[in-house]
Amino acid sequence: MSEDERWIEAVRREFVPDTLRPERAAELRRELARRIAADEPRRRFALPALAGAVVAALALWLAAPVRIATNRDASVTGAEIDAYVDPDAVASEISERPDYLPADYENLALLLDDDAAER
Amino acid sequence: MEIAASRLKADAPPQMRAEQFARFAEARRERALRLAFRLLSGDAAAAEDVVQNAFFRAHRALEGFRGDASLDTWFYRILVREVQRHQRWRGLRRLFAADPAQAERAPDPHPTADPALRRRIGRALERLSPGQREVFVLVHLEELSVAETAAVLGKAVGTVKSHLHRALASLRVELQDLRPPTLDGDAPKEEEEP
Repeated sequence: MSEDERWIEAVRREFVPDTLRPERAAELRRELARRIAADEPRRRFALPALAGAVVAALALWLAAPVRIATNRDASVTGAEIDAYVDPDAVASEISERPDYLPADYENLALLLDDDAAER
Repeated sequence: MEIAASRLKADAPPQMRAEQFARFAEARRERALRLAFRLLSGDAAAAEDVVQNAFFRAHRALEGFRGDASLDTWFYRILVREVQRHQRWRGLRRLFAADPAQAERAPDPHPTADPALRRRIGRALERLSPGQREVFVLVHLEELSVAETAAVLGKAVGTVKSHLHRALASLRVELQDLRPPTLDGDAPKEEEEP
C-alpha cells in the first residue's frame, strides 16, 4: 500500500457520519412521505392547469388578426387632412367651427374664400 | 436492492408510485447521507436536509428520467446539485442563524468515530475548491470511476483528472500522517480543539 493509499484509506474509514438511529430514519422516512404526498396534487393538477393556460394564451395570441400601423392611425384623418392637401379647398370647408382660425387669419381666410369663389 | 427505473417510471397509481419510490429512497439513504456528509465537509445535520431535498427533487423529476444514465448516476447528480445549492446559500444561513456554529455543526450525542479526527479531515476538505472536493470524494471515498464521476458532475474526464491531481496534492500535505486503524493499529488521535 502506497503512502497515498494509506491516508486515503484512513480518510475513507474515519470520515463517515454516525450511523442513523432507527427512530431518526423512521422520522426522515415519514417526513419525506408527507412532503411527497403534499406535492402530489400540485404535480397532478396545478402544473397541467398552468401549462394549459400558457398554451391557450399562446393560441389566442397566434389567432389574433395581425394589425399593421398605417397613416390612417394618425389623429387627423378624413376630410380634415384632405382639406390641407387640396389647394382649392376653402377655409369654411376645413372646419365647421367659427373659431377654427385665430382672428388675424380669419380675414386671410375670407380673402382666400372670395378668391376661390371668383375663379 | 436494485429497483428498475422502468418500474418507477411506470404510470402507476400515485399510492403505488409512492411506495416504490419509498423503497428506492430507503435503499439509497445510507450511502446518500455518507456522500452528502463528505461533500459538506462533515456537516451531519446539513447532510440530512440535503438528502431529504434530493429525494424530494428526484421524485418530482422521475417522469423526466430518460434512462440515458443509470438510475444511481441520475440520483447522485441530483444529490450533488443539492449539495451545491446548499453551499451557495450557506453564507446567508449563517448570517441569519442565531448561533452560526451551532446551526452548522450540531454535536452528535452518539458519535461512532473520533470527532476531532473528523473535524480535521473536514477542515482539510473545506480548504479545497468545490470542484476538487467533489472529485476527491466521489473518486477516492465513494470509489466511483473517473468516467462515472464525470457523468455525475457533468464535467469532462480531463477536468475530473485535473481536479483530482490538485486535490491529492493539497490533501497529501495535510493528511498524509493518517493511517487506517485496522492496518497500523489505532488511527492517530487528534487533540481536542481549545
